[in-house]
Amino acid sequence: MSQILHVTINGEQKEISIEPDELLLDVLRRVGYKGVKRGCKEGACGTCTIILNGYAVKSCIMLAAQAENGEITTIEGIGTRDNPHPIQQAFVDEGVVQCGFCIPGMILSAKNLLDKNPNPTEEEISFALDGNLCRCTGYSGQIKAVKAAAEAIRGEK
Amino acid sequence: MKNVTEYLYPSDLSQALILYAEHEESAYIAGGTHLAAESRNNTKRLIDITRLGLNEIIDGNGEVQVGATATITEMYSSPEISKVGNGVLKKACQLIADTPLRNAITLGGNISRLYTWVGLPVVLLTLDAEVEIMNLHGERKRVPAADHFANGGVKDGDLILKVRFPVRNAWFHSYEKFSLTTADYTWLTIAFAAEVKDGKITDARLAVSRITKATRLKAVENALIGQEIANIDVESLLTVLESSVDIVKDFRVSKEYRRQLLGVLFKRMIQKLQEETK
Ligand SMILES: Cc1cc2nc3c(=O)[nH]c(=O)nc-3n(C[C@H](O)[C@H](O)[C@H](O)COP(=O)(O)OP(=O)(O)OC[C@H]3O[C@@H](n4cnc5c(N)ncnc54)[C@H](O)[C@@H]3O)c2cc1C
Ligand code: FES
Ligand code: FES
Repeated sequence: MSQILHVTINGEQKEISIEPDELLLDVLRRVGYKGVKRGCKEGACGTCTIILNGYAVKSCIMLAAQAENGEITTIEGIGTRDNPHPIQQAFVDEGVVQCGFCIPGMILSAKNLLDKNPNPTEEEISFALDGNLCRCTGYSGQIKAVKAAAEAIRGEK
Repeated sequence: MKNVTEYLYPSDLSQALILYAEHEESAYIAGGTHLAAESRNNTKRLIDITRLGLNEIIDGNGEVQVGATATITEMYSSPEISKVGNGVLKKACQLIADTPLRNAITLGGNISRLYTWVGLPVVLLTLDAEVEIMNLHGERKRVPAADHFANGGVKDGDLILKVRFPVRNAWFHSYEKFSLTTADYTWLTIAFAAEVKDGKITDARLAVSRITKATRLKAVENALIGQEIANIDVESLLTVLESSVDIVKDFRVSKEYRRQLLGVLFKRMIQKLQEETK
């Protein structure tokens, strides 16, 4: 039986018709948030990461109904091509993107960390990114980029 | 979750029980990290238990009480949790899966069924934790972790409310998980705790999972009791250890490898015990 999901996505209130067994990943993509990527669909790779109620979570391993009355941030909500988020800018400046498939999820994990901890250590950054696999690059560049973004956000750069 | 036709949000505990009892094919859902991916399941009605205020972490009376819907991240970042078993519970939380999964997985979801790969059961066993459960009639009971796991986890309709962890800081505690990557299935999870008085082991707990269902190895615990810290007979303990577990099959790794692994991790824990209690 369909039900209505009440949810705020990137600051916009939405009412979305969903099936009770639909995954949040599938619903988000269905209504146009294509920046939420489907990789493994079993909770392992992190390409589907979003921020829900202040926590980075994997949207392929939860039902859409779990997000009722929640606040979601997807990659579409944090920056634009003309006005990128400092983390997006740092990823470009540090040249740490290859195919790009893992990047939305990784940036949201990084944002979730920096929102809570604006001055993280390298260890804290790798802990926060440990759920986001990248098949193309190593991780050291991305950790460096998150450090640079943190400095930019703190106004030190 | 192919068969689900209803997803419901009870406003309180009693409503959750009523909704469960009304429908034969009901299940409680917490983090959803297991249920959302479950395809061999007849559940038709899901009852969301994450909005019932069951996620509190309370410190008091020599124990820390953790609500069943507290996530692993909430536990990991809680100062109360750091106090349990000299940080052993925090370490167990740190080694579960990865950050976005820890943000979703709940304590209750980790211990309700006998998933052999999960991280918390062994530490509930070595801390002698108690699982507080409410049945469908609204009756509460406190079940020792050893009985909870030996009896196969929750029975139909049982709702885990909280877990009571004794602080037990006077004991030595150790915890290890062996897996190839952070979110990969563990090959072995092991927790060890010992009480030492006047240079002698007076009590001990040893629990393993994945190589078998989460269980205490009482024969090894008994063999440890009475040993002098300075002269622990590791070789004979290893013999007892080997014969006390019937290692289950795992297509990824041989039994021989895991038997060796078990011995190595246990030996390291004994060495740590000796160093820390010198
Ligand atoms: C890729 C991946 C890697 C993982 N790695 C690890 C790991 O390294 N270590 C680890 O420990 N875990 C790991 N997990 C998590 C583990 O496999 C389970 O998915 C998790 O413990 C389930 O918790 P949950 O809160 O999401 O439960 P749910 O999926 O919501 O529920 C699971 C079961 O518990 C029942 N349940 C939940 N709460 C209660 C309650 N309060 N009372 C009664 N019954 C209840 C449900 O009815 C259901 O049967 C991993 C999961 C994934 C997807
Ligand atoms: S698609 Fe969700 S973790 Fe891989
Ligand atoms: S850039 Fe290709 S997977 Fe990360």
